[in-house]
Amino acid sequence: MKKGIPEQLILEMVQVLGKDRVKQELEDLICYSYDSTNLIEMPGVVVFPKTTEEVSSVLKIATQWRVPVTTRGGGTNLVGGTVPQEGTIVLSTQLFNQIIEVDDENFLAVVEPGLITRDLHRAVEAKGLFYPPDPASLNMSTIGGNVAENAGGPRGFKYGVTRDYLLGLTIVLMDGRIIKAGGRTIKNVSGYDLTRFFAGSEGTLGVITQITVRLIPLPEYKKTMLVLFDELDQAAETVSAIIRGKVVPTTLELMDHEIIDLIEQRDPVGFPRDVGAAMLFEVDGAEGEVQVQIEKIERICLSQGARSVKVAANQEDADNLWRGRRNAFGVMAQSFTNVYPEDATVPRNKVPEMIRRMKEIGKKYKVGMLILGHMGDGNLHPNICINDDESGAVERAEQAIDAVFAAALECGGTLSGEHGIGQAKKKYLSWQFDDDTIAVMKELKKTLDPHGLLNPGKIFDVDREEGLDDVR
Amino acid sequence: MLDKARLYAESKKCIRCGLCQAVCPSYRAVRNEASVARGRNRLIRQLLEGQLSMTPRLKEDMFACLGCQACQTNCPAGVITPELISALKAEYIEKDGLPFIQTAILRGVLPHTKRFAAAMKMFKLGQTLKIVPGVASKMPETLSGRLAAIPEHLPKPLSEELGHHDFPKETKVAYFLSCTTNYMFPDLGWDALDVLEKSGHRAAILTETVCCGKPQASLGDKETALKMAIHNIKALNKLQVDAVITDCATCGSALKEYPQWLKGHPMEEEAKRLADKVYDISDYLVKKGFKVGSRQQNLKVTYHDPCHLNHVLNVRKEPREILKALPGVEFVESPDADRCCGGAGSFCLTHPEISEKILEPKVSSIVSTNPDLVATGCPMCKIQLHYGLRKTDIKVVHPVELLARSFSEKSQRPDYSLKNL
Repeated sequence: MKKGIPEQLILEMVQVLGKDRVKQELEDLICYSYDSTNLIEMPGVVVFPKTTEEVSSVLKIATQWRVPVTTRGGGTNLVGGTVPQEGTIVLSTQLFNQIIEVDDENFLAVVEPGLITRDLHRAVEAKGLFYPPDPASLNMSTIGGNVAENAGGPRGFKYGVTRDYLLGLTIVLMDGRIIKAGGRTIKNVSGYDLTRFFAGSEGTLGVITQITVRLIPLPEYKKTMLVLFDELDQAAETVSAIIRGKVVPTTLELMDHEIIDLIEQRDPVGFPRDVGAAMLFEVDGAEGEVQVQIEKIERICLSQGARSVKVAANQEDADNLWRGRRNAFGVMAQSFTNVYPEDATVPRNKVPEMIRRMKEIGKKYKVGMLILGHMGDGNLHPNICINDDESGAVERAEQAIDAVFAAALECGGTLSGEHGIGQAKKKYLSWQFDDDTIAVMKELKKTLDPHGLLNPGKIFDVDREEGLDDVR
Repeated sequence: MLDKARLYAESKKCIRCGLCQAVCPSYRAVRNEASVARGRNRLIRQLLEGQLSMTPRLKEDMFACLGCQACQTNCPAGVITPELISALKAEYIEKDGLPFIQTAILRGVLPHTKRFAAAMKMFKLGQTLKIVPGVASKMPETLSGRLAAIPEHLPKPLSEELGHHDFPKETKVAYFLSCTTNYMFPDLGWDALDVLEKSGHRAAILTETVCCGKPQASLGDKETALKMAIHNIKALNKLQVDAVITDCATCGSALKEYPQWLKGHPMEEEAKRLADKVYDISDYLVKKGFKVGSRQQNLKVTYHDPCHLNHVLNVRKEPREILKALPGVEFVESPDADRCCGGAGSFCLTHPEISEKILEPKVSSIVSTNPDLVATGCPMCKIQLHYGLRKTDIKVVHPVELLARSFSEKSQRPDYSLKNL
């Protein structure tokens, strides 16, 4: 018998799901033991429900046997949020993945949690509609995971994040109760806003089994431009100038000198290697409006001392520029044994200060501090890069990460803009919130999950009432 | 034997980003982490760490990989998962052997030109005596439906019809004859030679080359694969040509990969010399210039990217360029043209369920563009798509066949006797 999984529990799961959707071979357990972090812990069983009712039955059984459950979509979490505790249940939503409807009269779509985000994009875009949230993992991540993590993405500055597109959710609570939050209307003030409460709850409050998202018309026109700067500082200051100029590009992506240099070394797209920073802008809307914005951005960038401004002539040109940005993580991964992609986020006007401080932290702790960022919303991605064969590198990286979070909070920012807290950032939560605030979070958790069985060890630790002996 | 140290170092390079999920055809079909490069890679790593043994289940996970190599092209950390999987498959074959029918085909028939020819002759005889249709009706549709892709009255293999021939010393290009083209689609081969000739590139054909070795390599039978690679390298490097051209995506990818297969082998340099001049036919025609006939075809055509052309040979634009250049041909791009068709050699027969699940969306995306024809640069994809589209009127062709049709309605046999040069 695997640790923590009573044989009877497995039999009950099989009764609900059938043998094929209750997996317990060592190979299965290994494959569901990790996410995109270094964290790894072997579950005791992996189950694949396909309906809300099946999820409800699974959670009832788990509650009855007091075995924790970690919900997992694509497993691309960056904070260990989908890594289970040893010997517990992984509830995979991979097979629970249908589009129920795309309603182009009410501008909404109803989908199941295991749907891959890109497939949602494509289904609605085929009808001229648009679901803006675009986390970097959208080709692999699931919509359920996006809701649970409240995922963002480059388009967040103009369009907001996952939370801003939720109309309604069906949620199964740990005791098996099925609840419905929100509905199908934009205006909806009946009762508490449970929909937004569950967004970003990291699988600790319930299992999301149906999602109604709000859609908007697909912008008819977009353009990409690349702006180069001699100094990183200039680029950072330009962001503030653009926002002061009341221009709202769709995306405003920064790449620092080190990243550009790596891209050009490994998979060149033609960025000059001596620049201090590059920024990629995308502007969308009606054609005339896009033109006006492009000109405005160009003027502001040049007045801030940009070295050059280049508007992509066609889609191919634009795709090539974005290829550089998309490959940024890859070239770091090839160049260092360990990359810690963080997402400390600060109010926009603190972006220049935060960037300066991060570079100083990198120098101080002798770690690579390679900076990417969705600059418009202050969502910075400092990538702490080390080669772990160097002695003390891991410790120095950890100290540097501590320092980055301290700096972000001092700037009035937050620990995480879009990745979540998970396991990796748990220890910092008390840096951001006072005891009472955290206590309220824990009370809410306890109300919905009294035995502490849903994704334990994520966001914060709560006492788990074992009580196993009574049950058995 | 597994080079364990190298495999282990390679498996540790995986950063678990999961990007392979976006491109892996088997993952999209079954949505299970054990069916994607990240999972398979992790399993191999745990095996090498001694935390997992060579179980039958692990074997299933490895053999459920189609070998499309999309994960490798899209891996930020550059992990060569397909090679890790092949290495493990090889280990399993050493341990368990291959099923008799596969051993017979991979080791007994494919490497031997004469036996291959004899086998196809029997097939042809069966066709003439109407035995094949009779037998086919008793086969599962997954097999009979694919056999139906082979022309009803199989022409003579190209190698046989060509017979012994000489070519002038100054010939600058050689045509590598793929088994599928030679025995199942000889007209495709004739069309390839014809359009090369019409574009000013008379090709030398070597009938002494054998199967490229890719079917053996991807099923883990490295020993046989290497033998065949070495045979082909020796044969092809004897020719003083600048280019070796093939119309089969898989053969092209194998020839390109010979240096990788022969790493550390005395033949490695020779393999490199060959690999450097291997071209897919569309790539070669577009790079060196091609002529188009004036015959109007009035067809709407879409294109399917064969995995090995896309991920190993990096040929995507060129076949489309050829199609767009044809008089009367309207080219339409279909959604997910670069997604695998699920054929993958014998995979569609050994794993019919997964193969069907991969094929289904492929077929809908082709049908959604409402074409008369779908073109694809791989004879194996041709068979799979023919099977997938069997309930529609959509025909499957190689781009080169369509190019040849711009000159004449039927395949021409370029005259290969020396006196006409």
